[in-house]
Amino acid sequence: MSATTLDPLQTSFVRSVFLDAPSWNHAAVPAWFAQSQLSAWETFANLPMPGRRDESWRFADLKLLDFDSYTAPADDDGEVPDLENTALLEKTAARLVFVNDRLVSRGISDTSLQVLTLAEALERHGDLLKETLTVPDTGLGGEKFAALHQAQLRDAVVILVPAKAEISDPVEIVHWLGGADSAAFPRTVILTERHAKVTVLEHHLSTGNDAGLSIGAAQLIAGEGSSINYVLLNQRNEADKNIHLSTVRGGRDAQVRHSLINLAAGWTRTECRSLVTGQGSRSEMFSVSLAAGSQEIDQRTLQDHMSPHSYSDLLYKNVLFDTARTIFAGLIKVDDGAHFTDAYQKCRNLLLSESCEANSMPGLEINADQVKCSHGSTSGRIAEDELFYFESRGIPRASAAHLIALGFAQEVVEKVDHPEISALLAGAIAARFDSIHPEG
Amino acid sequence: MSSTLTPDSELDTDTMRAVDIDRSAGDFSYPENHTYDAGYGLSEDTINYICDVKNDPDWVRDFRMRALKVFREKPMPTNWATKDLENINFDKIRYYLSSGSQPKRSWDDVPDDVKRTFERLGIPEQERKFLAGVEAQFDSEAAYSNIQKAVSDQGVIFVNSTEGLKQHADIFRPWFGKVIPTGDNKFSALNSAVFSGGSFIYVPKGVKVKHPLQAYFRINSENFGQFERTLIIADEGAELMYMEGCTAPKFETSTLHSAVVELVALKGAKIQYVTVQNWSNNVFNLVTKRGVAHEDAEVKWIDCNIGSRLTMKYPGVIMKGRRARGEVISIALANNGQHQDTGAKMVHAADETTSNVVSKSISVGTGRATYRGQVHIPKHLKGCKNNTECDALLISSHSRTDTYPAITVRGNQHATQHEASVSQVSAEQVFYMQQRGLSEAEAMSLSVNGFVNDLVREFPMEYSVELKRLIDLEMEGSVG
Repeated sequence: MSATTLDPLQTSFVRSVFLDAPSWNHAAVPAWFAQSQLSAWETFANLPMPGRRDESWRFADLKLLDFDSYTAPADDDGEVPDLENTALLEKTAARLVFVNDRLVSRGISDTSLQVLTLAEALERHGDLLKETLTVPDTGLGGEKFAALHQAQLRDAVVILVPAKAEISDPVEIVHWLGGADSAAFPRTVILTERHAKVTVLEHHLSTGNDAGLSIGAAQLIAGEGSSINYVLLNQRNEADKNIHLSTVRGGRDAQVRHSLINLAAGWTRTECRSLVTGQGSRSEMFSVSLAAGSQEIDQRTLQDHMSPHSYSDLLYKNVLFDTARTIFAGLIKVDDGAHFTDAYQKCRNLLLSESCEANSMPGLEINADQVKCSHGSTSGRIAEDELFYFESRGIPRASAAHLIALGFAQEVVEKVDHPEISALLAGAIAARFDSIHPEG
Repeated sequence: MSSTLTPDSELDTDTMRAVDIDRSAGDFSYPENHTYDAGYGLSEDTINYICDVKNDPDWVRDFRMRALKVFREKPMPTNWATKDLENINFDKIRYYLSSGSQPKRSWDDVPDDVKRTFERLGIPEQERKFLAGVEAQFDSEAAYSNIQKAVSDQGVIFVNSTEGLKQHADIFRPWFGKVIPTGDNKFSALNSAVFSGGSFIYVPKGVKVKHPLQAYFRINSENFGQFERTLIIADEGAELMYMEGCTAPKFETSTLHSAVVELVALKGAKIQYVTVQNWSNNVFNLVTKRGVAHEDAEVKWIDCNIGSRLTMKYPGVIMKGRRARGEVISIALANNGQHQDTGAKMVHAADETTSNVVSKSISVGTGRATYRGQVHIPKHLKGCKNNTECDALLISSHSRTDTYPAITVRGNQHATQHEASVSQVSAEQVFYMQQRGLSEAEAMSLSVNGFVNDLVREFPMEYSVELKRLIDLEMEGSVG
């Protein structure tokens, strides 16, 4: 990997994000950050691709992991969509729009929090972020992609919420991906100080039907008594491939809610590791995925309890159509000494076609005492007596199935617990249901 | 001494003993007296030695040689299993030992020292007579074999596997190695290379064996791996219950036990296979057990793991015919230094098949209990159902329990559910019992017994009594 020096003649060369070292402009960034990108590239190059014997990729279709053809878009690449029409929320504390990792619009209406780009964050809070703006590895199998993300990182959203600031309106971050073989590396960092409160909605979309690649990362770090409500709505097109790596850390009495709404994208892999480090900390992970066509949605989670008296809850729901596949692998880990932990994990699959496939691997590793832990996983179809009930009330079978499936997803939507966001998620899910035709 | 119910306190010795069971009953050994000894380590010569001594037919020799090659090629499954497996030194294990005595026909002919072994194992005289047949394995060969007349009159074949493959090749060979192929895993390959002993049972069409068939066996030589191979075939409509139980003397260095058990339940047949495993704390117990259930057949594994250093055992059922049923009922107790890595594998391969897994584990001291499960329902099938429940009980603050199920369901014609929970003996419960005059140790043991009680009841009468006795035994002594 000698291509770390910048060759001006090479800038117009089409670089594969997977094969060619990025053309960094490291002049304006702190040395530690430049170094972190260099070594991340090296780590990426040295790590093998996930193999058949990797437990963290069990059941995954490894043939889909072919990213050689994707390129980092040039700065002026990607048409800017109509910004007004893509706003999901009426009132926001801040709203940022990116096209292929390029910031095209930023509006901040609440100045009690800082919403910064990567360059701004490095300049103003370089020291603070030294520990944070590193390789966003979750330890759940995607370490090669985490290193790639770090090496290819061009911009990020860094949200800093000062102590006791309760931000009433959500921050909305929109990431567009467009152009054939484009690759993007969206990154969101949310840091809340003591007793601060913030809600962030991240929205991933495609400008057209070209096949793109997105390897994103989110880092949620909640200080003492603070609260973060993070929602990622994925509405990419069905040719896109997505990896999203989340790390969550909750301090004493902190509350972090991490919700993933996967409505499209051809292939999605999400990893979410929640370190419940503080006493009295609450970590919640929710997800609803609608998988249709030949989609594969592969989700891996870890709830790691490191101190006593902490709580975590997980609910992942998948609705499967056509030949779609879902994989859920979750682990609750209660470390030595993390007594009095309450941890729950539930994965439920609703199978709506004869050829879909749901894989569930709910796991527990308990090393402490006086814990309350349970996990459950169910896979099944819509019960015949429920359909009969609808039919006896004059509602046709197809509509009944539709309504039941919507209700199934609604449980997660309500857990997001933000009226406006919940409503728009419900709308997006209903629209996606309408665009899929269940087999009856 | 602080209460056991605060997380940071260590258990007092009384309680430790109370929740432990008596393993010292197996702590004895008789002078070794082996006519045949294949020596340490594993090579082509070892295999030739075993074949020569056992007078194996050529096809068995070829089978063993092929298996040896597979064993060498297969990596250790440490990508998912414990690294403790790397501590097995295959060169320090003796793969074949035999006293050379032919299976005996009556109890009187059994050598005295072998009889003494059974005496110490505590099989009551009445029970011996009551039991249909006793197939006891002493080291590699069955030293005693008694088939009650009533059973053989029904046409049931109950012999050791060596006899089975020689005298009943027409039934034995078509099924041998078919349920668990040599290459299934590294340890099934090892067993295929060096197997000796084990049972072969054939139950003819429509025969329902009233009394359970039973085999007791022991490991009695240091560094001696026991590689028994059992094949049970229940023909159409036949019914059978088979029980195996084992204790082992304690040795200073590790021993390896790697068995392969294959069950075939043809149309409408029922097989129940019961195991109580109480190896000493230095035994690696790496066992492959699987059954095939044809149309309307039922295969049920009832499994209790109490001893060993590391047990890796995931009994499986392949439900090959319509309406076949598979069931695994398992209890594991992991004490200090022990790792019970058990589970179940349910492969649905026909319509309307149902499977049920109920697993309960207890971790004491630094013990670790792991549940690993696999449920597979392919898409071209209809109406398959699986239910899995695993419950874990943690006794002390350093105990560990893990659950790693994997469930694959294809298509919308099926239903599966999996549930697991982890809990403690609740402080209120213990307090209540203490208030009624029970000691803390008694209260604890009562709670542990209560936790596994509904599963213990699933065991055949003799075993559930024995199990309860195992759990109760030391508790009595620890009180006062």
